[in-house]
Amino acid sequence: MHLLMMFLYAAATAIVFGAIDSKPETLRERFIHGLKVFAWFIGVGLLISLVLFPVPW
Amino acid sequence: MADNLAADYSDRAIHSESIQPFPIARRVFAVIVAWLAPGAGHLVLGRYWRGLIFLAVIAGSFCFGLYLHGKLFWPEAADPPSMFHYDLITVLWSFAQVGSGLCYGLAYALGIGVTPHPEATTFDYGNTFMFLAGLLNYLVVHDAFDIAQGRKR
Repeated sequence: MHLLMMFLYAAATAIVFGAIDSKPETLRERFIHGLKVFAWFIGVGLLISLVLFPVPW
Repeated sequence: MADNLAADYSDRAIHSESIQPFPIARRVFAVIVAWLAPGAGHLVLGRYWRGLIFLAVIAGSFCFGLYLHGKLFWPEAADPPSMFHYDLITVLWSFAQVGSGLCYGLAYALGIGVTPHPEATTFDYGNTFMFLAGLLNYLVVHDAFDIAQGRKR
């Protein structure tokens, strides 16, 4: 459940970031930029979860 | 090298000339509408596909948050009373949600998300998606402003 929510959150953010960033000019560049943002969100999210996993809350 | 530089700068000159700021009335209208309805500012400025994508993603995130039993936040009085009258976290949460404009207003008017359901397992997910919708819409409003000013395409 939590992973699915993280994917949906990252997807929504990546779509908007891919569309508003001024650097990519073509649709293909925007798509690749969105994919990179998505990958960063998932990667950093998983990394933070691994770091925080041993912490006893 | 010098030829390349010259070509590069002439290209930039052409690009900067081709981006013109919109008339002031349309600029103001685009920014207000962009806040009220996600993506509408881009529609007003002729960026139809982008506007529709923003509408789908932001309004979709907000509705998904409501579906997951998210709550509409509004600044609440601090308990116990402190120097700052309002509970700061509810101020920040409501600021994030109000960014989604009419999505927030309509949900409030229809009474959806007004009663909190913290017992629901998806309560926090719902809130997070509603915060996301509002915060993304602030970025989209800023993007519409930049386009209207002629700073970007």
